[in-house]
Amino acid sequence: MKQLIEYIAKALVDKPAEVEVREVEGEKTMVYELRVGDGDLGKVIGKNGQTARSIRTILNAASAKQGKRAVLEILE
Amino acid sequence: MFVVKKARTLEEATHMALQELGAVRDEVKIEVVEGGGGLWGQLGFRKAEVKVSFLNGIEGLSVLTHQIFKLMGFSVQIHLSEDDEGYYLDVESAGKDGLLIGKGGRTLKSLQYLINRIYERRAGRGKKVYLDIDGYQKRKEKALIQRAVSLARQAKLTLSEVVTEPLPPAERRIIHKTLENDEQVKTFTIGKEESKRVVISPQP
Repeated sequence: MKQLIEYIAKALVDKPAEVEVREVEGEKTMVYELRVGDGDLGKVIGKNGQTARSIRTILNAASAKQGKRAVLEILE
Repeated sequence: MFVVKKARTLEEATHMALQELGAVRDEVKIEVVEGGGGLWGQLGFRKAEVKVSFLNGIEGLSVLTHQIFKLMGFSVQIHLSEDDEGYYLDVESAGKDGLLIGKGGRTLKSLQYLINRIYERRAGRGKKVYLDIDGYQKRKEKALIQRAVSLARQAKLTLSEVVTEPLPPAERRIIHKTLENDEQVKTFTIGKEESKRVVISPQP
C-alpha cells in the first residue's frame, strides 16, 4: 500500500525524490502520512481536491481486498 | 519528459535519472550519451552520461496501468487500443470487478482520472485515456442511449420538455449525440457546474 501511494505521488509531482510516505499502524486502520516537496502539495491535492479524492478511493479499493482500512493523510 | 544525467558509471547515472523522474526501469527508455568507464571513469571523472525518458503511447500506458493494478494487489488482464480520439484500456478483472469499479463506478473513475493526470505529465497534453473494467462503461453507455431514446419519445408524446437529473459531462454528451439526428426534438444543457441537466425539447 505504501508503495502504491509512493508510486502515484511520485508520478504526479515535480520533485519525486522528495516524496515520503510513513506508515502509522492503528488498531483497525493503517494511516499513511504523505509528505511532498516544496510547491508540490497542489499536485497531489488537485483542482477542488479531485486528485487527493481519487488517490483515497483507489486506496480504499486496495485495502478492502487486504482487509484493513487505509487512511491517507497529506501533510503540509 | 526526460532527464540527462552524468556520473562516474552508467549504472550510477541511470539510477540518478530514475530517482529524479520518480520512475521504475520498465517505464523508461535509456539512451547512452557517453559510455563512461575506461581510465577517466576509474580516475573518478564523471564521464558516463545517459538520457532517460518515459515511454510514450500504448507502450508507456501499458506499463503505467499494469504497475498501478499490481501495486493495488490485483492481477488483471489489460487490452490496449488506440484511435484518433483516445487510448482505450479494457481491463478484465477475473471476478474482482466489484472492488475495482466501486459504487456507481467511483473507483473506475478515480483510476481513469489518475492515469490521465500521470500520462499527461509524462507525454504532454494529447489524447485522453479511457478505462473500462469488465465492460462496465459500455453497458452503462448502452443503457444511457436507450434512456435518451425513451425520454425523447416521452417529450414528443406529451409535447412538453423533459429534464434529466444532474449528469456528468460524458453522460450528457451521450444523450446529445444520441438525439442529434432526431429532428423532432432539440437537446440543450441547463444549470451550472455539478448540477448540469439535459433538456429534451419537442420541436413543432
